[in-house]
Amino acid sequence: MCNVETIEIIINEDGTMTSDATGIAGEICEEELQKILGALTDVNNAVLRTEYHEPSAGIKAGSAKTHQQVGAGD
Amino acid sequence: MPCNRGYITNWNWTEAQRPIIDLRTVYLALKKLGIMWNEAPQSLNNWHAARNSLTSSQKVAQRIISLSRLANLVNEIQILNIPQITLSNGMILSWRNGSYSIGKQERIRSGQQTQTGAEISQFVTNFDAAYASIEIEMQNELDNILEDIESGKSQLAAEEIEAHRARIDSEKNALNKSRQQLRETRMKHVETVGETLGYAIRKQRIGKKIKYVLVRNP
Repeated sequence: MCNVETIEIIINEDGTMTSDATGIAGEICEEELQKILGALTDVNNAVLRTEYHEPSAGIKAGSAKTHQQVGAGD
Repeated sequence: MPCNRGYITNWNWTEAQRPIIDLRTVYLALKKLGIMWNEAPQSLNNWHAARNSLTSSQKVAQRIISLSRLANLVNEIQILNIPQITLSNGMILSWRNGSYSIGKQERIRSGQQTQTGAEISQFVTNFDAAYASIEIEMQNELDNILEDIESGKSQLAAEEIEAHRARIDSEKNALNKSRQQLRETRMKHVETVGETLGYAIRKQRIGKKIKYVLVRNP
């Protein structure tokens, strides 16, 4: 059974964005976010949450939370 | 003509931490940093002058005229379409999907590392801080005026109160409109690109936030 890839994107009142990704491995996740949000924000400058740096276990998940930018899974 | 062989021309672009959407805030932030906006639109220069001329030492009639002028200039600035802002430090602010990105062109030898990356990062950090503080300053200024009017502390004539309110409305509307445009641009983009990449998209409104859940079976 394949893991379902889920990306949550929140657009705040002031236009800033945050995102969470589940089921997508780190580098692929970054690529995917780049495809979706690259034209809007600088995904490479995303502030990554700690999950990104943790070793993967089972379903790979991760996220980034910052004003404008978006990050990736582990 | 200089020989270009072996050189490449790059553009380095960096996003600010907050969306840069308001020209008046950009104008004041640059002033704060001591950087010139090359060939700034006349309406912005006029707005800046009108804003500075607004003092309590003015006669009431004069102040009412200045306030109306400010409100009109804010509306004029709001409809300006400026795709690119050139700065005296060689940087450029370029309009992209609802907000400005900051960038600089560089000419380097093939294979050489970027020379301007760090310079842009530093400028973006400084600009970001200046933009944020001006944003707060402008917001506080309007809130204080409004508070003084509401509390009766300012003891202004009805006509002047009306002029103040018109100015405050125009400034707040301008900002709200820019934010709304930015949100709409981003929403449309997420929906279009998400769909193209084969995601099922669910949209949810949480208060004033919009949440998208993109789901795909790999």
